[in-house]
Amino acid sequence: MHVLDLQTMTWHEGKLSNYGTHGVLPAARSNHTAEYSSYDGRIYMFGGCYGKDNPEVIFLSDLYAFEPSWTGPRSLFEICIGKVAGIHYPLPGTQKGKRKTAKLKQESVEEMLTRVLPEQVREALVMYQQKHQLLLGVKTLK
Amino acid sequence: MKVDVFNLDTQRWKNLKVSSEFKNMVSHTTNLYDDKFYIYGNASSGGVGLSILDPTTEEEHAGRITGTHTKVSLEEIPFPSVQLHTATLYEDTLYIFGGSANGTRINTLSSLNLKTLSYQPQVPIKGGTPPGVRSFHSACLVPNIQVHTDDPTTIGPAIVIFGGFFGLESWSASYKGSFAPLL
Repeated sequence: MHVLDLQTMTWHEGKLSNYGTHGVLPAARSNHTAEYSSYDGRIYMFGGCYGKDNPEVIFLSDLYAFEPSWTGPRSLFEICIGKVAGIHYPLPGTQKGKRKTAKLKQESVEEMLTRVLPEQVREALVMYQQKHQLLLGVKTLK
Repeated sequence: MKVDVFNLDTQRWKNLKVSSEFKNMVSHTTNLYDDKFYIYGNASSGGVGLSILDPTTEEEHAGRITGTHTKVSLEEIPFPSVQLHTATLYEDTLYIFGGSANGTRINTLSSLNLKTLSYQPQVPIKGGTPPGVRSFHSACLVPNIQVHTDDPTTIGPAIVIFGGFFGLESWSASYKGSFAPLL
């Protein structure tokens, strides 16, 4: 993550290396999207592809939220992994069989979140929902 | 060039018909400024140029909408040949970073003032190390950001660059290279 301060025109390199504290760090990727939401002050990053040392490109369908004004614990968390065109592409770097596909069309968002998110992240989501009544990421998935 | 519009109120698609001068394009960027679309760079025409599409002057004919399209010629603005870049709008200025120029990935930061259409091929940087060459990355504008975990100071407004694709081979070679980490 590289940051250009438009006030000072200075480049910075941001680091979130404390794995486990911030949730699962996104895999290296290209062709993804990153949008800042003025609604909740978060950056939502979706999808892309990954193909390091692999002749075939792996398409990703995961969604991450990142709070740019706070890089403390829980500033970054994975909302879900999903399906692209009916094919599940597991997140690179995770152990095979450890992660399950989120069946977005066959279960409620609450069920999906309960199944795919670590407990501490679910707690953060509940706190956030209670505070704002609505989670933009969940709304998007519906 | 085919332009499709999704109406968020009616949840329906419509086709925006533009002039034949508006050629097909890929690997470009689109930014909304002053109720107009500023479309920068594309591969099909060599990755050169700026197109301005004004959908507010639309006229509907037989279910199709016609928008006013303006092509800013190369004679007026010396644009570099670029595609697969990012373009981030801050106030009146479009900041264009990275991408591929003439088959080579770059990490150049250029700017285009959309109010005056003045172009700066290399924005002066006062400090820090710029990201390496890349394409297929993403960029977004944030009002403030805490850059380091151990330093609560926030900076901003700022442009945040995530990930991308870098490698030594040009696009004429096979799809091979490395992916930049997102965070």
